[in-house]
Formats: sequence, C-alpha cells, structure tokens
Amino acid sequence: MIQLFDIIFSTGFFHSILRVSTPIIFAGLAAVYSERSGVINVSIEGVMLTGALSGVVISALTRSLWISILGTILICVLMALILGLLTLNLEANSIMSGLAINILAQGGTIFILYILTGSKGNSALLNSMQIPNVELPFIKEIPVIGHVLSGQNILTYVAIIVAFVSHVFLFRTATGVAIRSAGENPDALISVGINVKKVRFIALTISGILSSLAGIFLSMGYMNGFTANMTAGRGFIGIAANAMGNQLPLGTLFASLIFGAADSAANALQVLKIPTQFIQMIPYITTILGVFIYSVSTSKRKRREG
Amino acid sequence: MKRNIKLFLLIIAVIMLFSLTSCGSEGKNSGDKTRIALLLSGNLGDMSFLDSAKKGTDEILSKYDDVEVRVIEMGSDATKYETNVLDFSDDGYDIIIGSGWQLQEPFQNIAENYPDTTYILFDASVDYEKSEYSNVYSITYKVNEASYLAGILAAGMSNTEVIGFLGGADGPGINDFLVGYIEGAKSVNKDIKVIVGYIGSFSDSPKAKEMALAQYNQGADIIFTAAGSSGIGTLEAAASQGKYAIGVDSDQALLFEKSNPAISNSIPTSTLKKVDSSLVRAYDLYNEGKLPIGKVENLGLEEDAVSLTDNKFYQDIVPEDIKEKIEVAKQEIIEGKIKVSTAFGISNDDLHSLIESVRP
Repeated sequence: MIQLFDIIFSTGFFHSILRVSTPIIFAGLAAVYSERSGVINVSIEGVMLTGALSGVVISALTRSLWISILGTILICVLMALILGLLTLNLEANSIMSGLAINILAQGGTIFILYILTGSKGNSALLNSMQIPNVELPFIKEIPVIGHVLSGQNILTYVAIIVAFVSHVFLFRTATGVAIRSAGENPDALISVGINVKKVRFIALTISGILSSLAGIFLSMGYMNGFTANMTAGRGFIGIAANAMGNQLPLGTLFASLIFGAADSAANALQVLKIPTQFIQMIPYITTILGVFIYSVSTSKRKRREG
Repeated sequence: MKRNIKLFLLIIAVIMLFSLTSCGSEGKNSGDKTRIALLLSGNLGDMSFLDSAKKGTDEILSKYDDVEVRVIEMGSDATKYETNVLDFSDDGYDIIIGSGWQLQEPFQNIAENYPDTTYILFDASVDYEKSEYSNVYSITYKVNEASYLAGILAAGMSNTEVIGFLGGADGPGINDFLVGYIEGAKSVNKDIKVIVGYIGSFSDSPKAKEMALAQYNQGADIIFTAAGSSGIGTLEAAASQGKYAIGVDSDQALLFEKSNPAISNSIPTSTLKKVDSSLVRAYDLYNEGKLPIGKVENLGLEEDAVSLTDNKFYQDIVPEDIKEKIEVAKQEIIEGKIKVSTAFGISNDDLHSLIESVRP
C-alpha cells in the first residue's frame, strides 16, 4: 500500500498524465467540433493514424518541421472534407463513411509505409524529426507544480490552450454560434440565411486539423517514428471524452485528463501485485463508468425538464 | 431489368471461369523438381518472422537445384488460409510450409487427406494427441533458452539490481520469454529484481514507451521487450533515459543504425527465432530422408534455431566477463547441463510464484 502511494503521489506520475492525455484531448476536441455542427465523426481514429504517418514521412523527406506539420494538416483536412463530401453532399450514412475512412487509413498507412521503407511494421528506417519538449521559464521554478507542468511537449501545451480557445470560440463568436446551431437547430440557421452545409464543412475542417495534431503528437512528440496502428483506439477514446464532457471543450479537456490519469495509473501499477488483466481493464472501466455517469445525469436532467 | 440480371449472371459466370482456369494452371508439374509452397499468415515486410521464413526458402533454393518454391502472402484474412492449403494440396505440392498457430487448424483439417504431401508447420504444432498426423512435421522454438542468455546479460549489466520485462500479452507464447529471462538473471545474481509488465497490444508503441518509462522510473536500468511492434516504444524509452533495452524477433539495433543511432546504442542485443535456419535444416533432413515427419521438434540453441544477436553494438556495449558468462551458459545448455524451464509445461501457480520470487 505504501508502494502504491509512492507511485501515485510522485511528480513523474502527474507529469505522465498530461503526456498520455494529449492525443485524447486533441481527438476529443475534434469530436466536439464535428458533433456540435451535427456531423457524427468516427473517422478521427483513421485521420489521426494518417496524420501520424504523414508527419514522419514528410519530415524525413523534407527535413523541415514546419513543412511536415503544414503538409500533414493539409492531408488530414482533405480526409475530413472527404467525410463531409460523403455525408453532406452525397448524403451517405456518416458512421459508415467514417468507418470506411478508418479502414482505408489502417490499410493505406501500412501500404505507403511498405512502399517507402520495405517494412510493414514501423518507420525505423526513416530518419524523421521530433517536436521538442520545452521548459516553461517561470513556472519551472515553482516546486512540485513546476515539475509537473514544465518540460512537456509543445503540442501538450497547444492542446490545453486549444481547449480554452475553443470554449471562447464556440460560445462567444458568430462562427462558433453558427456551428452550434448547425447541430442543434439547422432550421434556425436557414431562416437567417446562413448555409448550414458550409458551416458544417468549416467544423469538419477544424476537426481535421485537430485530428492531425493528435496524430503528429503520437509519431513526432510522444514517439519518434511511426508504428502500424499506433493510434490503438485513442481516437475513439477521444470521442468518448467528448460524450462524457457533454460536448463542451473544457468538459472534454477534463474528461480526457481523467482517461489519461487512468491510463497512467495502469502503466505505473505494473510493479504491484495486481493481476495484469485487471490493470489493463482500468482505462476501459473508467471510460464505461464515465459514460454511465454522464448518461444518468443527462437523463435525470431531461426528466426534470420534461 | 431482366436483361440486366442476365448480363450480371453472365459476368459472374465469366469471372468464375477465369478464376477456375487460373487455379488449374498454377504450378503445373515441372519435371522432377521438389515443389515447395510457403504459406504465410500475413505479409512480407514484417522485418522478422515471415521475412525470415522467406529467407529460409531462398536459401533452400540456392542450395538445391531441383527445388521450386512458391511464396504466398495470405494477408490477415484468416478465411483464406484453409482454401490456400487445400489448393496447394490438391495441386500435388511435395512440401507445404505454414507459419504459426494460424495454420494449425487448416493443417489439421486437410493434411490427412493428402498423405503424399509433407506439411511443415513452424512456430506452432498440430495436436498430435488428437490424431496421428503422420505427414505433418511441426517446429517450435525454445525462445526460453535465448531469453535465459538475455537474462544473464541483463542481470550482469544492471547496476541497480532491478531489471524489467515488457510483454505484448500475458500468454504462454510471451511468458516463455519471461521464464527463461528470470532464470537466466537469477543464475547471475540471486537477489535480482524483475519488474514485469504487459502492454496488452502488439502495435501500441506509445503505450509501451510509457510503461517502459514507468519501469525505468521505478529503478530498472535494462528492459527486455517481447512485444512485436510495440517494443519500438521500449527501445525509444531506453534511448531517452540513457538506459538499455533488449530487442526481440529481429536485429533491432541494426534496424536503427542509420536513422537513429542513439537507439541502436541502447540495444546491447536482441533475441531471435531463426526461422530461416530451422527451415533449411528441415529441408536438409527431408532430402536425406531423416526428417522426423509426424512429430514436433522443439529446436533451441543446439540446432542454432534461437540466438542472441552478436553485432558491433553487442561487442561495444557488453563487458567481456558477461560475454564469457553467456558463452559458458550457452555451451552448458547445449550439453544439457542447464535445463531452462518453459512457460508451456508449467502451471499458472508455478509461473506466478516464479514472478513473485523476483518482484521488487
């Protein structure tokens, strides 16, 4: 038991929570934008995976971080727009289209990896670049908190900032209000002469950018290289974080941190005498519990309102 | 509408006709050559297991003139496996080689109907208790022996007396590595502690990196990772912490030599299943009529079917006295003086008490 507290109450543990949560925060925010605009986007996982590979490949070829980030964002936005084309213009089922993109990404990334490197497992042969970690100048000096917050990857800070900016954007700007109305009451938008489809395309574009950052973080921040299927369901956990966070950017941020904490705990607890099967269940039990608590609270609220 | 359906049926019929003819024309008997089919339950380019099997048949091809080899990458669609085995059996191939447990069922279902064909299953075994399978030869690998040597290396090089193990999943296939590793480590240092973790995935490299960092934080200074592609995460964690990691399945130090030398310098060695040499050995024996068909052979250090990689990183990183210890242990295993336990025979309780005995 003492060992347990030693592990949980260490700065290293809290440091790892932010790191583990980052891809989930990005994916969760990507889900917030698309779902707020009324498009169910399950393709986040696949777009992340594509982003992870593109970042590695472009950075290895061009040796420029900026070109690789911009190129990757472009590719991922294109994928998100394909989802828009399928669901908005051609009126295909959005879940089916999303799953199709996921399967395409799963096979496609391995195919491209194989053509470029001859390996189907990882990009070990490519000399790709990494997005650096940074020390925060003043915060670093604060005991305990400084150690937790400072020295994270740049994208980790970006993720947290984006969550706060998204909150302002969705609730305080005209475009944000339009995105929310496109999901809640599209007829109202039409009545004031705004093109609903256009608003949804804007939301999907933002969603694509955020998914690409999640992917870039995995292969260029967290890791320094791509391995096949490295997203391992983080896109879907992001969608769950969005549901648990009540489609609010800050709620999603909070939910993502909870998932991240559960995952970090599972990683750190391997030393203890707990069956591994149980430890591996922790992140998923947390997800189920979270969604359960969320649905109970919403159904209660609905009953009260009804 | 009616015409459309007719047209559709016609197209289907033509397609079926073509696929039939293509089946028939495949591998017509070409003289007296021994015809070998290598059926892979996946695709080439995995940089380990399947590529190694292909290397084995390539070697057989260059060694013998009267051999013909077809390599089939069956992909991950398991429904294709049995059909492929059936096709090649029907075609009268002399030897059909199959990879891994995925081919066990198809071999069990089909082999006995084609007594003239010899089936070779590597890294798995058909269930000889269930039936005779007198034309199936199975190869399994004593990874526990190579892992024993890895354990000696890890415990010998550790300054903290804590070492780590990160497996892909908690099952006998992975635990066979673990059992050998713990026994080898204990043979060098009785008080060695081993942190044991399982990633629960063979592709989630970020998670592996996170778990490896946790193990390093908790005092381990060298980790053995048996987790397929996930293992790359462990290797990166080692490089970022200036610690060591032992790779698996392919020479992982050479893999990163050009792209990321920092990682290579953290990998003193990797354990290998030498599928290639075991297949060449099998064909050599087959050619002499000595292959024990109808049995499973468990191949280890003695047959050169498993090993630790010996490259320049091994030479540079590992101290001489540890290299010597490894060499001595290797000889003693080959001579039978050291018996390494395996996760395949032992009960769950025995396994857990072994892990408990080294828990930090």
